Amino acid sequence: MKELKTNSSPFVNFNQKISFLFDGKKIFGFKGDTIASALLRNNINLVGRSFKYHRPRGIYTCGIEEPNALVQIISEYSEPNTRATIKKIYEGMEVESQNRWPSLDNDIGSINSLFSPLFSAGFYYKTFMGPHKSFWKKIYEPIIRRAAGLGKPPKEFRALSSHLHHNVDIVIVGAGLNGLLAAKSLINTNHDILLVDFDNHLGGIINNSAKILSIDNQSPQEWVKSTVEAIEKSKNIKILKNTLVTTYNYINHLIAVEDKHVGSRPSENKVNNILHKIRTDHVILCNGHIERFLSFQNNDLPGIMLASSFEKYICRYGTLPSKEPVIFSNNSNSNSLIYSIINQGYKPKAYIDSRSGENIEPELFDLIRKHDIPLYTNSQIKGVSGGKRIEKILIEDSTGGLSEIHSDFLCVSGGINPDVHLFTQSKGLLDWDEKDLTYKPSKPFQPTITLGSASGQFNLEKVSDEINEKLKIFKNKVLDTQIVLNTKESYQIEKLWEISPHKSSMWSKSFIDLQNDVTTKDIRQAISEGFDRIEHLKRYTTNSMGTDQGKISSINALGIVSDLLDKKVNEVGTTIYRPPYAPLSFAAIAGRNSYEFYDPERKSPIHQWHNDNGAIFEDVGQWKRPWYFPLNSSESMHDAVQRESKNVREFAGVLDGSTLGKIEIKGKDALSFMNLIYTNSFSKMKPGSARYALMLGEDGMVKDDGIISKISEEHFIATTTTGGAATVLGCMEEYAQTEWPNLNVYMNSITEQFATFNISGPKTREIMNKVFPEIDFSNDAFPFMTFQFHNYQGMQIRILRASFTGEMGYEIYIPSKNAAKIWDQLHSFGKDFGLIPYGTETMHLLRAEKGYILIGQDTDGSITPIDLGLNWTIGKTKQDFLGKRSLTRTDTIRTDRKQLVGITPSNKEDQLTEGQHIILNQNINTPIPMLGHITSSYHSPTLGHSFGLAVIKDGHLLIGTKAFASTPDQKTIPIEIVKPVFYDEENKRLVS
Amino acid sequence: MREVIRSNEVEIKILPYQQIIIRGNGNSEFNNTLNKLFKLLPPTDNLRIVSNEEMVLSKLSFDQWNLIFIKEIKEEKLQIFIEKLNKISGILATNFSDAQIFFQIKGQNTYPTLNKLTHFDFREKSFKPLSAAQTLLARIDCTFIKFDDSILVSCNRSFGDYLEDRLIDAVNF
Repeated sequence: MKELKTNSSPFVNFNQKISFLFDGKKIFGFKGDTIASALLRNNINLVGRSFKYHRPRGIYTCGIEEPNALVQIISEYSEPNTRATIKKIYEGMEVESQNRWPSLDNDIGSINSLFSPLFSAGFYYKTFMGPHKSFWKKIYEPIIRRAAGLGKPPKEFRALSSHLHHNVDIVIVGAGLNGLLAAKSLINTNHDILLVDFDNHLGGIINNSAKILSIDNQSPQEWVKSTVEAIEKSKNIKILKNTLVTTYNYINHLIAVEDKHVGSRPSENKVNNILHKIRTDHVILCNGHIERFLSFQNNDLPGIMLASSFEKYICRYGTLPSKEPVIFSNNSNSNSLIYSIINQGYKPKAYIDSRSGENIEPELFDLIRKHDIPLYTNSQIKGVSGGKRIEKILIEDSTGGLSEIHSDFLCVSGGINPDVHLFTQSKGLLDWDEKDLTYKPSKPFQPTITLGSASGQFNLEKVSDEINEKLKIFKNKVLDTQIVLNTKESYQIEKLWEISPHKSSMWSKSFIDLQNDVTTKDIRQAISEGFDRIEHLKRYTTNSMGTDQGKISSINALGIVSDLLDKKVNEVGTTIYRPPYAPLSFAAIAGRNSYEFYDPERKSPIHQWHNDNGAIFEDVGQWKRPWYFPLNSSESMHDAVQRESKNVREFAGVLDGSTLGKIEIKGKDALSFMNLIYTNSFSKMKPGSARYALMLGEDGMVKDDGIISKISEEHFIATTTTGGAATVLGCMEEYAQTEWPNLNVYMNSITEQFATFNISGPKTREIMNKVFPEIDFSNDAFPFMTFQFHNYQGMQIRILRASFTGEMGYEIYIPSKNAAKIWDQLHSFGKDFGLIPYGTETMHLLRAEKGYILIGQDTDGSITPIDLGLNWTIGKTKQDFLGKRSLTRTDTIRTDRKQLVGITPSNKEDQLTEGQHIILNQNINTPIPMLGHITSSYHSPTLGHSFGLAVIKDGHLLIGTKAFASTPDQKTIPIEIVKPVFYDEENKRLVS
Repeated sequence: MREVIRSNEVEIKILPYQQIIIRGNGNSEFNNTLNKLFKLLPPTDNLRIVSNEEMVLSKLSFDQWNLIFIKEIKEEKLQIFIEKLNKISGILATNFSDAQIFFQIKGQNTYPTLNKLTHFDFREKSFKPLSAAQTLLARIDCTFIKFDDSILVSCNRSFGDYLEDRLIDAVNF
C-alpha cells in the first residue's frame, strides 16, 4: 500500500481504515471516504473511459455533478453508473471502472480516438443510412452499443426499497448555510417542516470550503453543530439526511431518495432506499450552486478538476489531490482554494487568471505575493497535454507570449451557476444576469422561494438579510447572523467560455460536454448545419444530455452558441432540465410494489379451498380465479379441461362464480331506471323472475351483460361480468346522478357480500335436493330463470335457476363468511353424483358450445346486439334506453357489419386458433380481403372436434358457406360457417 | 378479533365488525327513521361521524351513510334493521358485513406506517378525530375512520389478505 495522503477532517475517521477493490486491486481508504476521495488518497486519477472516444478520464468534481467518474458497484448487484464522487466506501466493496475492455489502462476501444475526426456531430444520422434498413438493427446498433456506453445493466436482484409519503407545510431543500439558517428561523413556528439534505453531514459550503471564518463568533463547525441540535430539538422540523430531492413536480409535489446504507453494504433484511413522496404548501430551495468548467484543448485529461471540488477534497475529506496544482480561473470563487492550499502548508504551482490585474481582488494579490506564487493575469490556458494524465500546461499571457508549465494537476473554474434544476422543474422562469454571467431564478410558477446561491445571491455576508426578507410570510424569527469570511470578496467574473487552441489538431479536443464526448467543434458544426435552436442543437449533438444533464457545462454551451449566433444569451434561451436531478434506481421507484406486491390481488371467499385442491389460477383483472383443477401434476391443462367439461355434460360440475359483479338497485323509480339502463324491458317481468340483459354504451355497442333478478317493481339485483363490475356500477351512478336525477333510485355493490356458486349438469337437481332438502327444485316449483330467497341455517341465501353452460343449473348466492360451508356441503353431497369443481377455462368451453358470448372476448366495443344475433334482448316498445338512438344510425343498421357466427373445420382433425383470420380464398396473396377473425375457439370433447365463434362481415348471410382460416405460416384451414350454437339448440337440457 | 401484528410501536387487529350501507336523500323521514332505529342522528357533513357505544355512523357522500356495529349483534337483528330501513321507498339499506374487512391500527407509529402505503394527510389539521376519509391504501380503495387513539381501516374483503400482508410489510420495513 502506498502512503496515504491524510489530513485533518472532522468528517473522516482516520482511525478506521477500510479496504475495497477497484478493478480487482485492493485499495485502502478511511471511514467517511467516497470512492473518489479514497482513490485520490492513493494517487489514482484514471477512473474511466469516455462514452464515445474511450479517452482516459479522471475525477473532475467532488459531488453529484460528476460527469466522468462513473463506476459499477459489483458488490451491489453490479449497480452501474454510480458516481464515485458521492458513493461512500465500505469494507469489502467491489468497484469496477466502466466502458473499457480488457482493462482501464489498455482499452481496445480507445482506437475510437484515432478515428475521432470522423465521429463528429450527427455522425450516426449521416453514416448509418444504408445499404438496407435492416443494417441498423442487425449490424450497426449492436456494434455501436458494444463500443459506446456507460455501465452494464445490473443483475436481477430483489431490492429492499420502500416508499414514504409526507404532508408538510414547508420543505427546505438543502441544509447548507442558507438551509440551516432558514430552518433555524422557523424553529417552533406552527409550520410542519422537512429539511432535506443529500449529505450525511449538514453544513454544505461550511464543510466544503475555507470561505467562512466564523458564524456568530463560533467556529463554523461549532455553529453547525449547535444549530443542527436546536433544529433537531424543535417540535416542528424533521431532518432527512442522505436524501436527494430528484424531482419537483406540479402542485408542490417533490420526490426524494434516501440512501439508508451510506458507507455500508446493502442490508438483506432492512430497507436500503426510501423514496420520499412529499406534498407541501411551500418549497424553499437552498440547494446552492454548481461550478462550471472551461473549454480548452484536452480539457478532459485526468488531473484536471474543478477548483471548488479540489477545495472540498481538502476540507471535507482531508485529502490533498496534489501538493502543487496549477489554478486557472476567470472569477473570484476560487480565491478560497488558494487560501485552503496554503493552510495545508503547500502552495499552487501557478495561478492563472483571465481577468486583468485591476479586476482581481486586492486581498488575492496580497496572498499570492506573500507566498510568492507565480501569477499570470489577463492570461489563458491554451491547452494541456499528456497521456493518461496531464503533464504540461500551455499558457498564453497578456502579451500573447506562450509559456509551458510542467504540472500533473490543474484546477479550473469557469464561474458558478445557481443550481436551478429543481426550480426549472417546478416551471419557474430564469433570467440571464449579465454581471454574474449566469441564469438566475426569476419568476416562480409555484410557491417556491430560493435562497442564497440557489437564488443567485452569492454574497455570504448577506444571507440573513435575504432570509429575513423572503421568509417573513412565515412569521419567522428575524435573524442577525454575523458571518466573518476568510476571503473578503464579492463574486466577480469575466466572460470566458472557451479558449481556442494554439495549434489545432485532428485528435486533441476541446470538450463542452464531458459525459457525452461533445466538443466545441461539434457545436460549431451543428450551427453551421442549421441546428441553431438550442433544443435542436442539444438533440443533434447530445450536449447536456446523459445522466449529468450538463451540470458543469450547459451554461458554457449557451455562451458559445450566443457568441456564434451573435445573440444575447437570454435570446438563445436555455434547455429544460428534466427530472430526475440525478439518476434514481428502478428499485427505488418500485419500492415494495414488486414481486408478491406487484399488483393488488383479490381472492374469492373460498380461495383457500381452491389452493388446497390444486387449482391452477388465472388472473381476471385483479381476481385470482381457478383456471382448472388438474387431477395430478402430469395432467395437462388441455386434458383437465376436456375431462372437466365432459364431466359437467354427463354428471355435474360447480364453478366458483363469486367474482361476478352483483348490484342491488332500489327505489320507487327502480323499474324505470332499469328499463333505461338495459336494452331489455323489465316492465312485464313478474317478481321472482330473472332475465338475461345487455347494457350498451351511448354508441350502441355492447358494454356488458348479466342477469337481472326482479324482487319487486322497486327492487332489483343485477349481475355483471367480473371485469365489468365496477364500470357498470359507476355507469349506473353516473346516469342516475347526471342524466336522470329525477328518478328516485339507489344502488349498492353486493359483489363481495355474497359468494356465488354456479352448479350445473344433468345431476344438479339431485344434488340440490340433498343439500337443500326443504326446497322444491321441480320444474313447476322452480322454473328456469326464476329465483327464490331462503333462510338456510340462519342465513339468507338466494338461489337463481340459470346456467352459463347449457346444462340445467342453479346459481347459489351465500353470505361470503358462510360460503365455505355450503361449498363443502355441495361437494359432500355431490360426490355420489359425480360432482367436480371446474375452472374458468372449462366454463369458457361450455358456454362457447352453447353459443353464449363472453364480453371482451367475442365483443370488442364495436359490436351491437344485432351483430350478436341478440335482437330479442331489445325492448322494441321501450321509449328509450341507453344506446337506443345509436342502433338506428346508418352504420349500425348496415347488413354487412361483422356479425357473430360459428366456425367448424371441414377436416375435423384441424385445430382452430383464436385470432385466426377468416378469408374466402384458399390461396394467400397479400393484401388479402379479410372477413373477420375467430374470437373464441376450443376443442370440444362433446363434439369431438375443434370449433369456434367468429365475427365476420355479412356473417349472418354467410351461414352455411365454406371459407378458410389463415394460419401464421401462411397456410389455410378449410372451414364452414355455421350458426353459433353447437349444443342443445332447442334448450331441452337447460329447462329439463 | 385477530391480532395481525404488534411491532415497531404499531398494533394491528382485524375486528369482526358488522356494517350496513345506507343510501338515501337525508331528508327528515330519512333522519327520523335512522334516529328511531339506532338512536343516532345521521351526520349532515360529508366524512363526519357520530357514534355511541354500539355503533358508528359516518356520512360518506351526499347520499350515502355507513353504519358500523362495533358491538356484535345477532344476524337476525341485523336483518330486521335492514328490512325496516328498506320499507321506506327512499332508502336502500344493504348488509355489508361480509363484504368488508376491518383493521384497527393503534400505536405511536400508526401514521408513519400507513404513510408508507398512502399519500393521505393524517395530520390533525387535515384529518380530525371523529371524521372519515375514502382514499387509496396500498393501491386499493379504503375507508378510514379516525378515533382519538386509533384508526379503523376497511376495504373489500377480497383484498383482505393482500392488505394484511402489505400492512405487516409496512410495519416491518
